[in-house]
Amino acid sequence: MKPIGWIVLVGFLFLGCLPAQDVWALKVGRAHLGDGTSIAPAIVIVSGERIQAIGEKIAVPKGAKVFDLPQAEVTPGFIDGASQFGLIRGELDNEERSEVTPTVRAASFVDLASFDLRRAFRSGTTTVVVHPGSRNVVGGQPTLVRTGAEVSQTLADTFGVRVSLGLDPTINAGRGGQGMPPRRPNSRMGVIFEARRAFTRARDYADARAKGAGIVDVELETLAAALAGKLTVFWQAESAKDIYTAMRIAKEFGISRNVIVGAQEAGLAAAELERTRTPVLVGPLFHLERRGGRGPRSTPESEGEPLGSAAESSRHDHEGHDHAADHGHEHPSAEPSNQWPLYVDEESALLHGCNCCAAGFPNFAVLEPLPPAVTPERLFRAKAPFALAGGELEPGQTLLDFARFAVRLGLPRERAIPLLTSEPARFLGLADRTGSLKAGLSADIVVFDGDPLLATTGVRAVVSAGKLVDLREETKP
Amino acid sequence: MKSFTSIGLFTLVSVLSNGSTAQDLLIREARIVPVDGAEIPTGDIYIKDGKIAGIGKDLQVPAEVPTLPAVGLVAYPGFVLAHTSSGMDAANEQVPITPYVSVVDSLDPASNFFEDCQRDGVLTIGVFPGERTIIGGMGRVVQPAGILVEDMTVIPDAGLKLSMIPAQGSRASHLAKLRAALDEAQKYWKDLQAKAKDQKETGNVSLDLEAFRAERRKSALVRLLKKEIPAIIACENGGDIQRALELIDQYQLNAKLYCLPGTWRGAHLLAKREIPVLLSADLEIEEVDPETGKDVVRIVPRIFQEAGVKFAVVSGQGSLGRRYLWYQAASLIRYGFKREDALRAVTLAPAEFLGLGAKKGSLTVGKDADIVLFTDDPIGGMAWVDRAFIRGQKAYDRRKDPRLSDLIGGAAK
Repeated sequence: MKPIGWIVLVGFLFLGCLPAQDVWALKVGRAHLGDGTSIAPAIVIVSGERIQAIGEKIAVPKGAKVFDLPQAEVTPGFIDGASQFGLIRGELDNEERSEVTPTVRAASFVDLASFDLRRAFRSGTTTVVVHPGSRNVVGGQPTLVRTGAEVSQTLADTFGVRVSLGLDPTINAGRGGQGMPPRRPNSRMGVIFEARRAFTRARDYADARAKGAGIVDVELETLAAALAGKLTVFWQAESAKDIYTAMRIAKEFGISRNVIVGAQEAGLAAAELERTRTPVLVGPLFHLERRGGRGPRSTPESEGEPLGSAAESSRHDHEGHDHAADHGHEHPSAEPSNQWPLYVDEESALLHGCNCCAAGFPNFAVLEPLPPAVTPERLFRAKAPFALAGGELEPGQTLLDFARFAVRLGLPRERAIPLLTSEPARFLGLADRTGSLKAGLSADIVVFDGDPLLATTGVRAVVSAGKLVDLREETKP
Repeated sequence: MKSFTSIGLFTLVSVLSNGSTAQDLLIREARIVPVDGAEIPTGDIYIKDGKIAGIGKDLQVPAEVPTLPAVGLVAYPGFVLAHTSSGMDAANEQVPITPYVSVVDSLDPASNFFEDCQRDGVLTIGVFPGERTIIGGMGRVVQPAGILVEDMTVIPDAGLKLSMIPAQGSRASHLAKLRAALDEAQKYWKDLQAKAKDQKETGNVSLDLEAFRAERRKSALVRLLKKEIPAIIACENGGDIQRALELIDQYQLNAKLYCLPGTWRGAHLLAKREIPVLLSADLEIEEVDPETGKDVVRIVPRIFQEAGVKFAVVSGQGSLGRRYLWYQAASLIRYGFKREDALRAVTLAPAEFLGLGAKKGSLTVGKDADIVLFTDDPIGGMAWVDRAFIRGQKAYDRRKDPRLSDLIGGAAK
């Protein structure tokens, strides 16, 4: 048969099957649209990969399969704008040949079949941005991934570049090894110097290119693209002073597209973030536990954590570990007090091997006390643009839980879902693709048993690009 | 003799003063979740002499009893955290076999942990040594109120912590060391019995200083073998459960198991045994089938329930969710448990695990008045503790928690 005949035949079959197989509908008790509003009850009609229509009373096309779940509530698929999913932590996520590696792409080392991406999918996160590690000043380019029940999919890998401030890039200061040159910056100042130098070079390079210079440098090309506003700069900045630094450097170099990630102390810089309209991806959030005053020893290791060797246990034990030797820098010891001086996450402490650096609280004696868990409420009150990110560092610590705790700590209920959906979509330039339940957008939908903000509510099913995965079936014993 | 009199007098005074400070109270028109019975949409709780003297609608109490209007508040029994190593200055000793230590010497009543317990409605706490030692020492059940550990104590010697989990080396050598310690204690106990019999028959009494020293080191293990105190045995996997059961049978121990998530493989072994079981804070375990690469998320409490094993759960440290008992109960509901079973697992079940089923864990007439008034149903995740009472005395008031109000301002309305 001639090729043209095949096309006609296939096309005919496709059209014939379309209403029966490709269009389906969800009838649910409530649909949270992503912008803070909801409709109840709601019908969502999905056609192929997209939402065809959504409304209170809309006609379902004939022959379309209907899932009738009157108790269920749906939200847009969650977007985690700052994750390290799919990376083998501490091993593959840092290219240590140089402090500045703007062309390294997370896409080249993300494991799309990794367990954490699948776990993120199961908890309702359908879109994630996987970042390179934080040990380089300019770590490379994050990648946009659509999570899947089995294998995830890379959607884009040249939309931004990650710059790490703070002390993470000093972790191996002075050490080389394995044919690597010794790492240079060993202080916050050194890190900032490297960042400035990189952008200065890129600016000079762009000027030279504009004047007709023939040399091409791909690394500087990438940074020049960021300066020209073609790429988003993701500034990893945890403490308030690093957040200020990020805003300062962005202003100096006229960088127009900035997103601050991590941002544990963004609450302390909320007014400035609002003034400059710099979006923040806050997370992971930690509990309200006080550290520092009595020292980490007052809270011994978790009962549930995996038990390892004595050496492993000592990694948790701040007092027992020789900080200066391990990290090449010293921390002033905290004064005993009844303040709330230090909040750390044990999981990231494990990753980085050190409580204070991991949580971005390097000089905790001089910090204003504010636990990360209240950061969303502070940013909301200051009207600063922000979203939540960094979920699933440990099982059961989902992005949705961050939102639930933010509400518990004072965020208005209706603002919770937007922080996981429409707001990150806006900051990441994805608003025309996902992040809302709107006709024409990708059918990324989370189906919950009830009110998603209640701790008792589980995820019933996840729809990613129109494909529904029933989790009840999956987790059946 | 003089000192004895003064101790007696002191005890008498403290008993009297305890009696007089326990303020009777009528909590009026709260929503009551008694855990061991049907929920009461609006009812009163009468606290008398530190105990619950009545629960129901429109209770009649003496006119002089002060009342606390609790419209809109939800009354729960205090949560029971049956196993934790928090509140101690260090969870584990460096020496692997330390039956002679007790958490009493390690507990700091001023620890922030106890303040958090009040704030989170956890009113009974089993503090035990960690899992990195073979025999970790004596645990203690406390309540988060009091200046001295003695004031806080509910059960002074709540059990000797044993661990089936090797901190270093193999499980074989770990178990050999544990058995050796128990065998030695058993022999010592038999020698003691023989010596006592001998002394009784001959009337000879000798002062044996070495035996006196040994006694101090071994008394906890002898008490364990005499079943005067229970063993709290930490298990990490299914095999640990099997070996723990062998130990329990061989040494005739009065034992309770503290099970980490990997123990799901041994859940069925516990089905027909009357051994109290406590699940650690990680309620899920993720495994990847090595052949198919398929994810398996195992819900540990569900496996224990399906095996017919009753259990309680604890909260852990770490990030947001799992560090709260209300969250653990909410997780159980998410996993498909009935609400009453989920509530039980963080209140009555852990109280029973600690042997306090008759005193704690539910709002029942005759039990201790350990009552938490929440601003809303805590299982939903948005409620704060408004007030907490321990044995009838107010232990926490949200209006007098400056740290909380600094943090959340008007959030906890």
